[in-house]
Amino acid sequence: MNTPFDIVIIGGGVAGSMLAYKVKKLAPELKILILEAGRDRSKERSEMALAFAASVVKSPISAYDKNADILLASPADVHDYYDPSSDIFKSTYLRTGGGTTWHWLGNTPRHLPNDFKLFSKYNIGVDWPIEYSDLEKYYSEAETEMGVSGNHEEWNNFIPGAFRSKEYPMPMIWPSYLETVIKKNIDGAEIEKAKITIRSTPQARNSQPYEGRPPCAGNSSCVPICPIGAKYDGMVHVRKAKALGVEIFYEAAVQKIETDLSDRLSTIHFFDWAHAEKTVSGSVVVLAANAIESSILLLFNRLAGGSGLVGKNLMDHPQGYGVGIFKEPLFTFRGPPTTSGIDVFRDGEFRKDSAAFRISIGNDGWSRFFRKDNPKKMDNLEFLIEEKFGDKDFVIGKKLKETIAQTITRIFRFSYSTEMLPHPDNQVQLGSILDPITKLPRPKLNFVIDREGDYNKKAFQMAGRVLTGLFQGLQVPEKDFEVQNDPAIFSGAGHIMGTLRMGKEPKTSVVSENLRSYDHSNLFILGSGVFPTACTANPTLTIAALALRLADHLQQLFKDRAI
Amino acid sequence: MAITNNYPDLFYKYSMVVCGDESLSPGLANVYFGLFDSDPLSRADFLRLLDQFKTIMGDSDPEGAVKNKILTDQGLNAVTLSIIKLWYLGVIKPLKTLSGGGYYFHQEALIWKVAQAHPAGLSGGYYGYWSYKPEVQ
Repeated sequence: MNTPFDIVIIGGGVAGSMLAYKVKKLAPELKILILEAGRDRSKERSEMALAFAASVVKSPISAYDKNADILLASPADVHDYYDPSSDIFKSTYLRTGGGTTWHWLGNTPRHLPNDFKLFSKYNIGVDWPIEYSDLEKYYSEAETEMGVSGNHEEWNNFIPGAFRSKEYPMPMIWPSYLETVIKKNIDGAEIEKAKITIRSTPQARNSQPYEGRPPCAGNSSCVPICPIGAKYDGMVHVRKAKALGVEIFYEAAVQKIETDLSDRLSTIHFFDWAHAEKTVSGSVVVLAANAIESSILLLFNRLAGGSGLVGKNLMDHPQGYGVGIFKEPLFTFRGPPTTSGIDVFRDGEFRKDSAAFRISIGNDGWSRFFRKDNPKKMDNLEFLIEEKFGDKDFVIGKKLKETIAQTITRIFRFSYSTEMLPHPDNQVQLGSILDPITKLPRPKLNFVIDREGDYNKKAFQMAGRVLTGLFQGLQVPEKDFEVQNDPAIFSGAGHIMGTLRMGKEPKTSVVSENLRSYDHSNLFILGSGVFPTACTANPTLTIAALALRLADHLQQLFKDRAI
Repeated sequence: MAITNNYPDLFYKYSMVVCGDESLSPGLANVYFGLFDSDPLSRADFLRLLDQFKTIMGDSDPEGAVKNKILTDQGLNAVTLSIIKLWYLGVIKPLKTLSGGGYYFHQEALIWKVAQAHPAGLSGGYYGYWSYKPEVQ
């Protein structure tokens, strides 16, 4: 098979599917193909949701790991998908139709104006080749496409330059009871020279019926799966693209990519899961397989190597947390995992010296970590039961029930996600073990926080002081809260960024500001891999905005016959 | 509390005393009874516990009697802790009380009722319920 397509997109996640949909809508005559290495799991949503509901150990992949087709199609563990000689990298992704948006939280904050000019403003990191104003209309478009619920008044110009040209398509998600109480008790406090404001988090989950999908029912399981499809995932645009005539091949794992004499990508070889080799070609090839898998494909095929930067500058948002027991019941574990956050530490002069961070208020109590006085590192509730049961008076019966109720209903959590600077030694390389699906080398990941300096360490320390101030401001006694601010014990945010940097210079970047490869004129790269810096926003909205922007660019190129 | 010679019924009644909840599911109690009753490592202590409980279940202060006459026995104490954990967490782990693999009944765990919440993925709620205290639902 060697069917010529106008555009071949490798990767059927949010980036690839949204791009396919918009280009096809703008230019119906174009033949577009998506090659997705994973399966179409859209009809298995209920089974996967029930598998998660019944699982005791809740993790981002616990809805997916018991399926017969696992074969590393979805990593079952953070250690499973990469080469064992790797450093510990704590974020995973899904290889499935719709991509990792199946198990994302749905938070959709925008990058801030200064995020795009970190070097010129604060003399650290690098600048993006585009500015907030270049992307703003695509942010609005992405919010409409995904279905984002948010409070326009609260976010429009909340800091200078952060203008919004359009209302959110849906009203904000109602705050949890917990967050309403926290806001009432802490808003306006001054901590670390900043005025604390609890702000609603814009989220790609429905606050009302939207494009045939229902409103959120508060199942508290956005990660790893929304059981009712109220939260956006990439399958929304896979379906919309298919309805317009875009073709999608599932279980199509790209391996070898050939180039012609003018260094344009020509023939793409892929294997189906029965290991039959097939080929396609496209006038344009868009690589949208995420920051790790896209890098592996390019490294394996020795493509886009002019800058020597493919795979380099791998980033995440290293996280820490604090947990406390409030003076009155907050009724945790109900509704969306988070509906509000604190955004005041996402920008400021301190970024010259210390990473920015975003704080979210968590609705899942202490479920992500162990209490500091829990030496056995068992489930915190199990520990509480053992602790009380082992009391000299044997706390059982109604008193035990009352004790558990009084604790479990008052727990709440703050988490913070820190900005990470790019460093070329944090990178994706080809490992020594083959992935059974793609037949490509597994990624070998080098990943060290603060490889030089202490930018993130200072952020963890500052966030620790802020969280301590928050707990004190909320009158939580010292014995009833604890703050984790050791960057050596960071958590992964699932935000895999860098590795395929966009920039204005071929020597210092892999793709141009239009996401075109500097080495291959018909290759474009999409996804958070192109982010020059990590900033503090969850990356998916920016991924979507860049996809919609690239759609305009590609449509124009085809119209001008400039491909 | 009515006296009974029926082990499953004794287990159900003992569970209600030690968990402090009088609306435990009888069906789930039968399943849980089967787990303990079929485990070679803990069965002897388990049946001894139920026999001991039968002698005190008519006591005017069942919790006090359990503390004084059951929990002071190391073997019966350990089984009781496993029973409480199983009801509250829906989990009984391998190599603790039971041999073999673990058993998981997470969505049935008593903790969800006590927390006035729901297992993740099974809210059964409507849009916005989370903005209110549970009793307003």
